[in-house]
Order: sequence, then C-alpha cells, then structure tokens
Amino acid sequence: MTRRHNLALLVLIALSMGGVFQLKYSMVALKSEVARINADLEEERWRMRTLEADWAYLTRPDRLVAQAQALGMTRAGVTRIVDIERIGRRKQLELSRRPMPITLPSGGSAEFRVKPIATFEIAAGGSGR
Amino acid sequence: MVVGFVFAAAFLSLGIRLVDLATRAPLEAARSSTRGAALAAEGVSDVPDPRRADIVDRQGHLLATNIVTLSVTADPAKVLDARRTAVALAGALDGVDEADLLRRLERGGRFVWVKRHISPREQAAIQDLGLPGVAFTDSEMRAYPNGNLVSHVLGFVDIDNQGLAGLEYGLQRDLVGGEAEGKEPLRLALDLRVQEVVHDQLARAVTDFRALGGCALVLDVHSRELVSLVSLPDFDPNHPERAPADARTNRCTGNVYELGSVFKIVTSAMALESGRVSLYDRFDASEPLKIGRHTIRDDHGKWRVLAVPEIFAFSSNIGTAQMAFAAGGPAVQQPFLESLGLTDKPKLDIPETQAPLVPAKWIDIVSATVSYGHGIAVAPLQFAESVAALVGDGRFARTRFLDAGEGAAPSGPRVVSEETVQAMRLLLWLTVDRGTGTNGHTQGYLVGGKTGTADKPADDRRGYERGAVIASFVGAFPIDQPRYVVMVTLDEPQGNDSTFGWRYGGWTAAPVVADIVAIAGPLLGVEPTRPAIEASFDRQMHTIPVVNGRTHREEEGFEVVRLAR
Repeated sequence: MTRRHNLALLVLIALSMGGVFQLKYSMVALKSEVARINADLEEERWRMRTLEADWAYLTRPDRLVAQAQALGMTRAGVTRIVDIERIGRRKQLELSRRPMPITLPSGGSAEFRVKPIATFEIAAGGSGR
Repeated sequence: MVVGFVFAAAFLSLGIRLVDLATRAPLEAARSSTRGAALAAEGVSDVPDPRRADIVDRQGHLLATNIVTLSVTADPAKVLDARRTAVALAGALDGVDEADLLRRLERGGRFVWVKRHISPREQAAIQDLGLPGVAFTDSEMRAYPNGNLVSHVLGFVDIDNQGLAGLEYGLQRDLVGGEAEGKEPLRLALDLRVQEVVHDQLARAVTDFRALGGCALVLDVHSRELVSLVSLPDFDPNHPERAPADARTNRCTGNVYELGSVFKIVTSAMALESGRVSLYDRFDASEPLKIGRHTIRDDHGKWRVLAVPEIFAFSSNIGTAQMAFAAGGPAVQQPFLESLGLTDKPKLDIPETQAPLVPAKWIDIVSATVSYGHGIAVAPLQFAESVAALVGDGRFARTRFLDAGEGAAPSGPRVVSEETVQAMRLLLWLTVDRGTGTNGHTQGYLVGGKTGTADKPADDRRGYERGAVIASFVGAFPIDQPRYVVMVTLDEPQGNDSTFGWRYGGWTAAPVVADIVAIAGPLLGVEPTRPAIEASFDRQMHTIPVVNGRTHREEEGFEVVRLAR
C-alpha cells in the first residue's frame, strides 16, 4: 500500500515537474516572441526614421526651389495677395460691364445687365509703391 | 533506485533548462537595440547615451534626427594577423590610419573601434575581405537632412552623439534620451522656408559684394521668436570637422561688432523717451562737433540746422550726439542701454554668445561716439532684440529659439512708452521713404529701417582699419504695426557697379532686407500694406515743421536725396 502510494506520489511529482517546465517553457517562448516583435517594431521604427530623413533630404527647400525654377514656376509675390472680398466685387463689376442681349416674350429685344451690389471702383492688384 | 530516478530526472530538467538559457538569451539581447542605446538603457554610466530627440521647425519639417548606421569593430584577441588586418581595413575604409589601427590592435584587449558610421559600400568591402576578429555593430548617428541651411542654429554633435555646439549643446538635456525616454521632438520657432530665403539672399549679397561673411536674421516682434538666423560662411553639421573655425563662428550671436549708425535707433528712442527731446526739436549740424580734442563729423552731412527726423533719416552723427547730450548724456545713456540688455551677455539657448564690449568709463566723448554706434560692440541678434522692443510694444524680452505656441507673448519690463514707439516707427519709415535707407523700400509692404556703416577696429584695438567696414541695415515691417524685424550685417563688403562703388549699409545691406521682406512676407502671411496707411504716415510727416517753418515735403534736403538715388 505504502509502496503504491509512494509510487503514485512520485508520478505526481514527475507530472507536476513536467507541467511546471512546460508552463515555464511556453512562457519563455512567449517572452521570446514578445522580444522578437519588439525588435521588429524597433527595426521598423528605425526604417521609418531613415525614410523620414530621406524625405526631409529630398524636400529640402533649395532642392524644391531649383526644381520649381526648372518647371518655370516663380515665387508668389506680395502683389498677388488680395482680399477675398475684392475678388468677389471685381467679378460683379466685370459682369455688370458685360451686357447680355435677350429676346422678350413680346418678340422685342433688350439688354440684360447685372447691377453690382457694391458700385464703387476697386483698384486691381496689390497696394504699395 | 527510485531516489536515483528522481535525482536523475531533476538533474536532466536542470540541464535542459541551462542549455535553453545558454542558447536563447544572447539572441534576444542582440536584437533588442543598438550597442550604445542598449548600454545606456542598462544604466552603464560611463557610456554616453547616443539617443536624442528629433528637432523640427515650426511647420514640423525635420531638421535633425537619429538614424542607425553600421560601425566596424575588432576583437584583437581573435585577430590572427594584426598587420595584415590593419592594411586591409585601412585600404577599404576612408579616413582610417593604418599605423594607428595597427598600434591599437597590437595593444590587446577585446574591443577596438575601427570606424564609426560606415557607408553601405564600405560595409560590402569589409564583408568581402572576410577578416577574422572583425565585426559590425549598429550605432546611432545624428543626421541633418538640410545640410548647411540651419547649421548655426542647430550646431552639431560629437562621434558619441553628444552636443558640441548650437541648440544640440544648449538644449542637450531636453534632447538626450530621445523618444525612448518620452522626449518629444524639439519644435523650433524657426521657419525652414524663410530660412532658405534668408540664406539665399545673404549668400548672394556676400558673393556680389565680396564680403568676408555676413549675418541675417528675422525676429518675430510679437512673440520674440527667432524665425530665421543665417551666418555666412557656414558649415555642414553632418561633417563639422571639415569646416574651418571661421565657418563655425556664429556671426549673429558669437561675434560682437561696432554696428555704427543703426545704433541711432537706440539713441533717438532714449532722447524721445527722456522727454527732453521731441520730434519738433532742431539741432545745429552746420559744422563738426568738437568734444575736447576729438571732432565728430557727418558722412552724409547737410551742414545746416536739422530737425530730429532729419537727423535720423540723414544719419547725422553731429545731431545724434547732441540729442544724447540733450537727453542727459552718460547718466541717462548707460541705464537706458542696460534696460535694453545691450550691456550684458545675452542668455540664449545656444552657447555661442559673446558679451558686448562696453566702455570702461562713460565720459562725454564716449557718450557721443556710443550715440552713433562706435565705442560699443554688440552681437547683431542682441541689437535686433532691442529694436524689436523699441518698435513693438515697448517691452524688452529675450529671443526665443523654441516655438512658444500661438499667441504667446513675452511680458518683459517696459523700456519706452507707446508714444516713443509710435515716434520710432515714423522715423524708421522716413529713413526708408526719403533718407539713407531708400534701397530698403519693398513693393507692397511699408518698411521702416535704419542704415549703418561702421569702420572696423584695428587688430590692436588702437584706432580703426582703413577701408574695412561693417555694413548693416535693420528693418521692421509692416512699419505701421511691426510684425517682424529683419537685420542684415555684411563684414567688409566691397562696392560694385550696382552700388556705384559705395559700400554703405544703405547700398549693400538694405537691398538684401528689401528682398527678404518681399519674398518672406507672403510666406509668413503678412498682408500687404493698404495705401491709406502709407498716406497716414505721409500726413504725419507734414505736421512736423522743420527749418524756417517749412514741412518735410517742402524741405530741400529730401528732394536732394531723392534725386541722388
């Protein structure tokens, strides 16, 4: 009885040892997996940093200026800055100066003109001397 | 037997675990990070931490970052033939000295740096050699994608990524550790687009006028943020060791100059603020001013009585010296300069600063020369700071290199009243409109400014060099509500055909400021000045009577200047 009991206990000990080892092993495997993923992330992060540095190098202002000039582009001068309000009013004035011939229901003809809301003249372009 | 079985099982499991640990642990450590970063993370105190936060401009453009590169190392204990290895490595790697490497390999030990941060081509060459005891290791390297463009602001780092100059040194504590230690990228107030414009214009002027160098900067008057700073000659912070010492000198902060007549801005503000001089006062500039055995003369002399606006616009030394005395002389001048921070070493985020050279004794002749910018030497950025105070809100504040955020305004001590600020804006506008600074005029923006041309002191500090000048122009725009101060200083410019041989600041530096304003103004979102505002400045000048009760519009002097352009 005692021998059988002891044997059972030994088997149990062996099984628990195996179980603990298995648990530990799977934990270590998971830890290793986490370390690998972290290392991959770190690697990707470095790759991104290198790409960002490459992008900054390729979009540096002197290079963009040279390319823009090669494409015939010019810098936007101050004279090209106008109030958005002015653009609207100028459009109205242009329309008001362009009469449109229309045919009336009676058969007669007439000119259709748009009357601008603001009727004062606005200087074109930017200000300054 | 049972006991034996138990022990055997226990030892077997321990053995398996030991083998497991021995084979897996080094692999994990090797993959975790770069060599320096791993050592730093482990808290090895004698190894400098190579990790650094990025630096970006106010728009988020990358200015400095860390990238991973390979470095070549050697283990002398594993090297079979030190001489053959040294010869092979020196042949494959640029900049490696064969004799030096051989000496280090023969000294023994287990670790020798062969070369840090190698190129992919060099890596391939080393791999082809297949030398025993030679290995590669990852290491972090600081990279500056914009090269020379922001060199004097950013500075540079050493081989271990430790700051040696510029913001890299000044803000080392905010940078080291980088993202791994939760450090956010450092956002500068600098605008890369404006920096390119300023660099381009200054480089052109330095070339055209064959100057030794130059400085140009843009300062935000509201927030006192540094939008741009260029010092020429400059250097590539990726390879600072290749640059001569002169190129690494920051001429905007690290050198002090006698700036000449631009200093009349300070003197005029002091005189007006004292309440003893007004825009309506006149001073006799009909003949040179004698103080003891010294004689003060005018470069652009009118040789008659001049009103205060004329003294400023025509840059009269005689008139300005008299204004300084009328304001109270040295007793008022010294504290006023102190209040504008012009007598102390500036506290900036970069280490390249120099204390101003101020007179040891404030006697009358010194007070007179200081009034027009001789006998006192300050760095251009330090002077621009004081101009920002005098044309802005009348309060003095130091320059900020970092982005302070939207609407952040510094609250420094008040140095001049709102009335003095308004008067200064009028005087600066007048100088560009009709005085010595007409070349600073910019289409679309109302610019105010002051010219300056100062003889350079001789090397022995006794007297001045003949023919060597510092030419400057400091401008503010739009002058009705100044948003930015722009300053350009050229070191020993030579006149050319476009300036009719003149090398005055009004001819050489003023056009550079005008070009910077014209191009950078729209980039910075500054609206063009409306004609009504310009007309109001013109009207204000009409109200100031000058000689014989005539107004400036009628005054002959202005017409003469206009014709001479």
